[in-house]
Amino acid sequence: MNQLDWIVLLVTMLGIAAYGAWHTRHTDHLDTYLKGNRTTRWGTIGISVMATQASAITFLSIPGQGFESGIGFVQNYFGLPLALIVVCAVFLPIYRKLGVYTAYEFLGRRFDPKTRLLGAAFFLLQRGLAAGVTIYAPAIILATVLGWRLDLTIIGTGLLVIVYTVTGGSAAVSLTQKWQMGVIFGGMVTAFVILLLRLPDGLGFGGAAHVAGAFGKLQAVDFSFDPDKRYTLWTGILGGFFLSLSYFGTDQSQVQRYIGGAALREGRLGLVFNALLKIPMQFFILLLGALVFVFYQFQPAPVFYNRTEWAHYTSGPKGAEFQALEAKHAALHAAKQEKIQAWLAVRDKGDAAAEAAARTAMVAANAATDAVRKETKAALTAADPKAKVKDSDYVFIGFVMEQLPHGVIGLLIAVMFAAALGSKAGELNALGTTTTIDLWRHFRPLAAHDEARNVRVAKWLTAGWGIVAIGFALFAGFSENLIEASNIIGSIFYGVVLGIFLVAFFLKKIGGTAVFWGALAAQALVFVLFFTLSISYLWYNFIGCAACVILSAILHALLPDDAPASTAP
Amino acid sequence: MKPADQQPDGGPRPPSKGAAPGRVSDSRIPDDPADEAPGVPGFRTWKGIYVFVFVTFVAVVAALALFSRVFA
Repeated sequence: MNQLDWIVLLVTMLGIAAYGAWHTRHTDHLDTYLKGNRTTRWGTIGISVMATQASAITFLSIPGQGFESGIGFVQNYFGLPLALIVVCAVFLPIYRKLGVYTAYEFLGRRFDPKTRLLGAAFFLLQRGLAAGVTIYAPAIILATVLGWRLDLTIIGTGLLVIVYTVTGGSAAVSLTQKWQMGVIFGGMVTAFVILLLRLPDGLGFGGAAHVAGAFGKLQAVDFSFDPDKRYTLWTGILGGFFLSLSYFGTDQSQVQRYIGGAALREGRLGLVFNALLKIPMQFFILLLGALVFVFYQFQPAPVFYNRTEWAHYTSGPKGAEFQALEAKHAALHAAKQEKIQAWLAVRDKGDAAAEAAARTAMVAANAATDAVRKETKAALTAADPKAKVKDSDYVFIGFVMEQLPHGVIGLLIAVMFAAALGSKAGELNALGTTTTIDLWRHFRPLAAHDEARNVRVAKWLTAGWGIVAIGFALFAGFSENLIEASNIIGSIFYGVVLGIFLVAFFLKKIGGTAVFWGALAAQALVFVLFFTLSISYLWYNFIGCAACVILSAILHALLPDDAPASTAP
Repeated sequence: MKPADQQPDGGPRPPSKGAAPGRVSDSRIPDDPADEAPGVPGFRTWKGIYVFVFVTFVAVVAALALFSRVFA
């Protein structure tokens, strides 16, 4: 990064944070602090919902996913539009009708205090555990690539988000997210255009797409019923539906983004905005990764994309072995380039047999380079069992640093930080709100009537969660597997929480005692299955939800005194 | 909610600063009309919007499947 990049990065990030904090510095009403301005329109709500979901990892890892495995990951989002229809039609009107601050406050109205506390506890446990990861995950990648100190990157990012989130609460979060998403969209479109311009002359988007397709990178929809396949149309619709319904309907970090606003209409249209744009947006990011793959087919490509880690090991005691692997990969890559050129030459000549033969040779050449990459990762692990061998997260950021002009590099680094700040702000805001409303106000009902004190407490608790997140990121010592573990933890709890809410909305005769014990039993069942089965963790969203609903219904039949609260909607 | 409680644009009235010093205001219950029109040109009901979202979803999946086939 040069001076221009630093100016772009600092002006955009500090400018947006300062603007958000300054503009909302007089937020002294609890309602505005926790729900945002009452004048907020659907565009701001829609962008805020999108920004909360899209973390820095979205823009670092998903292009890497497109590069490595193709765009099939887009199917993971197929359940999202359907889930958002349910949230718009059922969840949101009831939250607005009851005027709740948190989704768990609704459980207290519908069932009883213990069920409300259970829902809030599940959220705080799951989000609290993930709190450090959302700062740590992008910081480790950016610090590695940019040569920054990891601890200072974590602390700087964490303190910046704490300052404006604590100052203006939900109003500041929505306001800054709008500008941050502007930076993100601008940066990603710029990267896409420059990538297309950097492709070989005459190839163009169509030619690049044909190359990517020939290597199997553009298989967006898989209709197969093979249970061993991770991403198919069916797992995307079913698993994605339950995951999205739970996330958007019951996770306070999302609920908080859309329950405020000028009217019910604004929240609904904000969600519809996401239902329409989310799949195209994810497709675009994955396609960007697939096109980066094509770009490297016509350029010298590294054998290992985490160049900092690679430089460390090649200068170590086994450096000669790694350099030999690098040379082997370079030779095979050059041979592959010839095969690709040969395939492109015969592709449009109408000779199907020659085209098929050239394609087979090209795919075989790609398998040979892939084999050397696998061999390299195995050698790295043998040399150092703690080596971070997952390099796909470094593909896009490496492309940015090496191929984009100065100024645009600063803009793309700003994209990563904007995404990290936006998602972290939504998360801290929700953790502070849930702790204030569902714990502090619950246990201090008299003090809860003092609005100024409520706001002060919410600010202190938001700051406290921010400090916890920074401390967790600094000292937890995450590994790559732990980052995935945070997703697994989410799936373990999400299903049961969704089950509680589905009972609340659709099984109106069931009361708090049945659903409370049903939820605990379902959670225990999910834990047992998690430690005994080896199925994909996405299935626990469905299993936990179904178990909670069924067990609540059975317990309701067995418990004669189980009845809904009198204030149930 | 009474019509007087709404702003001209139909949104709920913002919290009153001087209504109850030191107390939690009652402004957090907006009481939206359940059958509020979407106010989107071409759509008279929310059901129409949801059908549009569903049809768009099906069209996007079909377009992605076609994209996969064209560039396979």
